[in-house]
Amino acid sequence: MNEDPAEEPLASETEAMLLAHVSSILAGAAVTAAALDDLAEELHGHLVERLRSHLSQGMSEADAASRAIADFGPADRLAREFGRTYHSRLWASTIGVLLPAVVTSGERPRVVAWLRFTVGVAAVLLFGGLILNASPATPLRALGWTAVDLVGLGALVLAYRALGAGQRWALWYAIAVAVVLLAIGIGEVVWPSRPATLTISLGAVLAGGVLLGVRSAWGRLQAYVSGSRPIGRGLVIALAGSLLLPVFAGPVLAVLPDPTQASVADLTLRVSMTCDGGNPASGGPSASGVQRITLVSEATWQRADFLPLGVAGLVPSSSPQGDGAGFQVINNQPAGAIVPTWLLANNGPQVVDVQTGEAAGWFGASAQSEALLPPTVGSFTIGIEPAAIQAGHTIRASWLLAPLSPAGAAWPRIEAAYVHLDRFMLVGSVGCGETVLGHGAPLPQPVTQAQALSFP
Amino acid sequence: MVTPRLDRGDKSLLLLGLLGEREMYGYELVAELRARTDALIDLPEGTVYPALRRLERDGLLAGRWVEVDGAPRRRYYALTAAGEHALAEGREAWHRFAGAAEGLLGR
Repeated sequence: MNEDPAEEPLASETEAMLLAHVSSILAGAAVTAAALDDLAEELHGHLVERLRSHLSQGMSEADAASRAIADFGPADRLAREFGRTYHSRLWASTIGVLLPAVVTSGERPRVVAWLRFTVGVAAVLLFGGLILNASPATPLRALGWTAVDLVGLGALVLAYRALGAGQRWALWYAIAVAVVLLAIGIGEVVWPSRPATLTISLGAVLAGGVLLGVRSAWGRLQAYVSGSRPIGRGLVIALAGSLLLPVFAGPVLAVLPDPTQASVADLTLRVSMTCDGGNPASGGPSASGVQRITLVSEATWQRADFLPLGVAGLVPSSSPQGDGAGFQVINNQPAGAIVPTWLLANNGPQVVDVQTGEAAGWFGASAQSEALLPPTVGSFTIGIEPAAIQAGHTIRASWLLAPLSPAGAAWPRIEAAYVHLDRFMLVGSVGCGETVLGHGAPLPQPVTQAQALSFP
Repeated sequence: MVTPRLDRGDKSLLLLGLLGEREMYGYELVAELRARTDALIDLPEGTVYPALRRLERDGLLAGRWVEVDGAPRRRYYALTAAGEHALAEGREAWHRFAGAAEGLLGR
């Protein structure tokens, strides 16, 4: 046996103390994997040498270990200095502060694991929300969603790690996440997104249970994070923003103008109506001929959207999406009448690209915007291929109408409308022999399938 | 190239100064700093390592591991050519600063 205590092997508890200090420093420093082992060996070697020098002066091993660790310096300070060595100043002043090393003094309460699980669930929900929200969004809005949700995800990952290291900010952040999940769940019950439905959010149930657990273990939680240092006000505000932004991003991004998309100013709608076979001058039918109305709507685009349906629009879809156009014959169905006065006189309207002569749409299609043409739903609407909408091209739709009654009918006025996706609408009202330019009109509430199929 | 400035509170120049004499490892540098300054410069010992790694990252030092009988390996550091140049510049800056301070306060 070696008689010099400074030469004897160290007790496993002593080694564990030294290694814990080294781990604490390097965990907070977040150094690269390549540098980690190298640094750990160097720092551990220093601690062992200092400890042995204290041992040679007659200290007990436990005291010598504590003294060596104290001589070496506080883990959080060293972690910050290593952080500045291996990372940028921005990193050191943000993440380097949020993830410092803390040797937790108190035992980790079980509810900490549940809080971390809740944070993990929130991260999964946020990631799912990112896919659902960003993929069908226009480019600028998709970027907005991605930025907001990535910041939120980053904060959640940081909070997950920092809570494991006994950080007080992470405890409050996790509690706030649980409160937000609970509030969203309550909101779904009180203001359901689909009327007359009851949605119980599993996330809200989890959050409610965890919050009760936090309440009962509050004293132990306080002890668990007691070694943590406060973070600056700026970081507190940034963390609060990262938590609330994903919740409120939807309404903000929805009204955010996206310059990659065409506006109502980029579309010209020309509507014309020709009356044949009757007596347009007298405004009534004539027994001398069969009445016919030719209604033509020409939509000319000065500029087209870039990825109007987001990256999701690049994936072939079984349900056609695009623009819609249609018309209503004003007073076509007088009160008490069972059927309309004017109907299509042939198989359906023609939709062509004037420049190429190719078909550019279809009759009666279920285009995304069709539901926004309320008076014409289910009758004379057309769908327009998204690919046909190109800058400098004109899409012409023409309808041929005839009166239902062989006795003829009074010449009507007709209002034609063109809706671009669910974004804007142009309308124009014409009578016999007239040509008008459409003007912007407010979008009505979308019509449900049930409403569309119900006839008065 | 980064030149450590002692007059601006950068302790790296002291490390370069010591390593300009001979190759040393971290523990040895801390002990030398303490002994040579009569413990006037007595930093938390661990702070020497981020400084050494920073100097190594900047190309002023080169580190190498050395096996030691019955003890953990030691990582020795030596000045590179850039380190010698930085040390010379740092010394010159320090002498100018110290001379100016002496002229002002030394009476």
